[in-house]
Amino acid sequence: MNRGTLLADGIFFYRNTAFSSSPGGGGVLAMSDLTTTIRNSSFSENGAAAGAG
Amino acid sequence: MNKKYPVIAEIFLLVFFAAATTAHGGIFTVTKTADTNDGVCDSDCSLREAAAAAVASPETEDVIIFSPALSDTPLSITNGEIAIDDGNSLAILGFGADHLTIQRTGGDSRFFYVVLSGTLAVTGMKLTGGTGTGRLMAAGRS
Repeated sequence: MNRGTLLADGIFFYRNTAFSSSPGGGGVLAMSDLTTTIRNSSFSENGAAAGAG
Repeated sequence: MNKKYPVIAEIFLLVFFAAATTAHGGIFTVTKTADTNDGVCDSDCSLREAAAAAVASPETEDVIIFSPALSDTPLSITNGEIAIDDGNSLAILGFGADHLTIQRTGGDSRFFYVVLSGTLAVTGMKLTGGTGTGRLMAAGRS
């Protein structure tokens, strides 16, 4: 099991189907057991599961 | 989006990783928009090739940057998610969401599949067209 860190900074998530930080989620970033920080970012016109997960 | 803070963050990250790469890392420059993979990141280097080269790098801190020629020219991901499976740290530094777009087209996939024990920083870009709900478990990774 990995214990990494993901930082997404200044990202515009636009028209993606889904986004989730949990296993089985999907979309932009598939993250496995990472500590995740999303900052200075925005979301627009993404799918129903869009968000920080 | 407030542009001030991402720029400051990018500068911080660039300085941080530049300092780190002086002794411990490599810098890989994406030079093309097409999603190709000939196994080499040289003067002809896609994002996928740069990621593969960074993952394969023995260095502990690697950085992927983008050629200025790619500003305002969307990059395509057409061959599935880009795997970043690394025990070290990596920064992917874009120009800013207003000037660097990565778009996924063709089939369903995410942009990146990330498994690492270090730190991945992705900054300054627009990500559009990502899909692929459920693929993580289907791939047997957890």
